[in-house]
Amino acid sequence: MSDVTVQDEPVKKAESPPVAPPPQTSALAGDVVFNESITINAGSRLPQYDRGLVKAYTASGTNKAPANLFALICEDHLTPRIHKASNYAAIVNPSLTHLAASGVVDWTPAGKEKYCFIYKHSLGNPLMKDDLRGALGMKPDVALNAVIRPLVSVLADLRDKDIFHGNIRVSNIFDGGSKNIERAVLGECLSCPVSYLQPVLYETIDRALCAPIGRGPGTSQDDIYALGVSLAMMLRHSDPMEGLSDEEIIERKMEEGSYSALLGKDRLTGQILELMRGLLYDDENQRWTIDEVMVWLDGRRLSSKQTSRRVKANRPVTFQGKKYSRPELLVNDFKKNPGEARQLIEDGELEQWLSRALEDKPATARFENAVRLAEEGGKGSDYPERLATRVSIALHPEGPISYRNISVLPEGVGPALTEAFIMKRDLQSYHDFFMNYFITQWIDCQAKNVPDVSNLVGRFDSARAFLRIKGLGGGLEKCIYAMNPEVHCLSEKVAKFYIRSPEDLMRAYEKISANSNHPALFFDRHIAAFLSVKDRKNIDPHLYDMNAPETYRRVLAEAKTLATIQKRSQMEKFPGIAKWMVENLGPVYERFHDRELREKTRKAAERLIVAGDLAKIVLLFDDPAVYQNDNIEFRRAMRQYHDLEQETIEIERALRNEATLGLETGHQVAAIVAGILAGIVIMASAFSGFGQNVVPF
Amino acid sequence: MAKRKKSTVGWKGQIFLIVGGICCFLFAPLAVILVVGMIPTIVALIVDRTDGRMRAITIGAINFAGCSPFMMEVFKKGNNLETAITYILQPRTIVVIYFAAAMGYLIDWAMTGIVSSILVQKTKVRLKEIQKYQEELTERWGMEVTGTVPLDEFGFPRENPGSKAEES
Repeated sequence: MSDVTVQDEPVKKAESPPVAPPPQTSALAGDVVFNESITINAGSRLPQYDRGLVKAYTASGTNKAPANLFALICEDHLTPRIHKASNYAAIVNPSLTHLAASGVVDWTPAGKEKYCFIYKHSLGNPLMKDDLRGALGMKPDVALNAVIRPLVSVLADLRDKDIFHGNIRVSNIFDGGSKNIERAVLGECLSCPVSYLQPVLYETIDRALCAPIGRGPGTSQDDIYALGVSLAMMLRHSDPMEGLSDEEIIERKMEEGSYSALLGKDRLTGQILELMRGLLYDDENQRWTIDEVMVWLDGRRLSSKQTSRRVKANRPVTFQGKKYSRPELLVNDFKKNPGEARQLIEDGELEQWLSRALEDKPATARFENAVRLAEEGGKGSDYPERLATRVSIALHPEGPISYRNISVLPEGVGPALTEAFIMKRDLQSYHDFFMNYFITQWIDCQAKNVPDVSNLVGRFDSARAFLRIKGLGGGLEKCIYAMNPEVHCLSEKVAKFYIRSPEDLMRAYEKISANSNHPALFFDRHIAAFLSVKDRKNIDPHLYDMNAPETYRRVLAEAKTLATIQKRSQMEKFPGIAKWMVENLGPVYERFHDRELREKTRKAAERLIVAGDLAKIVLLFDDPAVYQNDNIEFRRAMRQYHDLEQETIEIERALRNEATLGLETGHQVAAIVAGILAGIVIMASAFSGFGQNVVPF
Repeated sequence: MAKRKKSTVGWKGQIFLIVGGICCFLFAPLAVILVVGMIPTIVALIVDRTDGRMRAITIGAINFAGCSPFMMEVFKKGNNLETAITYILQPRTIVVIYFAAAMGYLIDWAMTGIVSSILVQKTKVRLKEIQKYQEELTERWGMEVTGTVPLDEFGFPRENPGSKAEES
């Protein structure tokens, strides 16, 4: 479970009315400047605005920024909802915490960059400090004007901006700084994953069964439910669920329905009763919509809807010594002991219970299909877990997919995987989760249409494909970035930076390059996966080389990727990266046979460092003709060397008989000389002989 | 049927012998001087083991040059056999002709020595040039160029440490 799960934590009894505590100051931390216009006081904490591990600090603005602010510094393992920030900031509603700014800040107390959200500091105190227990006993007319009207208008604005708040609870509803609550203000929802901090009490039954990190994006109907729970806490005079655990809360809601479970013996009357029933319907289709709430606020009466109870068996089934009458609760406990669950299933006891005690024919058919699907995967060591998961999907289709320690809705698997990775939890379960491909069964079992089902199936298909890739650009790392697009790059190489785009990565590298102890290579599995998901055109053409065993291919592939990012994003010059890149190019130079060419290319690359144009450096190694010519010349040199070797052998052989060397030529030369001499003598004799005595003596 | 024994002299040789015989008959005095005077060349032809019998050719050329004045003298004095025998029996004639043959041998010995020593020096110089050029090739192309290092398909050493990925 998450480190910040709050449901079962022992809590102090809520005091009324809360007084805003003064900021806690620390002498160790100083000011951190954000965007040159906002100063975050890292030594001045505001614990009342903390979001679990996400801490709040006082902040002040200059120039156009508001003066009185507070900042929430996000945690790495809790992916903030950054893509919703611009829509959120566009909402102008006094009952919603105003987002002044957001972005990456160099958070000096941690020595690394963090993402922060900066809000206007006008919240006041939370209406209740304890989300789980207590009762405010607020009068209905006060609640109507001070809480219901403002918050419904906020929910309408959020819906219009396509934002699911997921953080509506009494500790996140504030008094706006006034002693008597005149207009409640809803706190922020961006600094943590959706519904991560929401206690089980505020979640619908199906979402409550998920791990907090894996609830996935909800709908405005879930916000309506959370508003209903918050109002019930404010209106009631006693807590009927005091001391109950999370499981008992869910069970109570199933048994009695949320309205009765939350309000117990409190008797609401008049219009507010109608509203509370409408907000707390457990069936999402029967629950009021925002429009219906607004109609109700306008004074019109709404026709009451037929309430439907969840199916309950007429006799319980025993699992792990506990009796279960509801399939949702039974299958939720399957993950605790899959071996015994297998026995229950294979004995036929569960099927009998489904058909006779539950009398749910569709559930029985889904169950039989689930068993068949589990058997198709073989009866290996993980069979009990697979069987338990498939049966739990069949018997509780609206609930989470529970596999081993994973309990997530399909859309929530990304943040859950991210958290597991950062917190160094068991990742093999996630690997098996994707490979077992539970998603199609989950979709088939849904009673209502799943929105954007092709996209969902496509993403799970991709995840399986990524897991089959063992090298860079694949694996669970790529699943993290594909399933959770908002997560920053989790590479150790850039751990001090909050990188959300390839451009951020380039600027981080430029800063890292200034350190003499920067890593040798640029990329690791995380960076490759991150880039591949963010913009595959940057890196995918080079992934094959990046996974090659030869260093020169990896180095060159990295250089090409960096150059592509710089060029495609039309980024500034990066002399630091260029220097780092050139330092790495040693093995690439060695791919030239010609040492002179190596030296010439090295000097050319070094000359390009100052310009910081990575594409020009890469271009030095991108011409196949250069390699071809080098190879041709090398082969020619080899032949020359071989010919010289042969000549040397012949010469040495000749020199071994030095006395006879040149004798033949000498004889030939002598013959020629003799012939010439003889010719001269004969001619001389002939010319002189016919004139006088031929013989001169 | 027994094969007929092949003639050792070819048709060219046969023509040469016939022409030579006719010449000897027509110029018998000159033939006498030539036969006696060219005895050193005949000896050289017999004992010479050099390729192409170059030494015999050298001796023969100078030997013939030594005979030629006497042959012209005999021819000028009527080309009769008595004159030729008179000349050949004179010690002076024999000394001159055989001295010429000795000069031929001397030329052969001297030229062979000179040419041989020049060639040896030249070969040694060439050997040094080859070694220097090979060093230059090794310096520019590495040990791979020598062919003594096992190479991959691209012509690089198989055991090149830089070719394998080193983790950062």
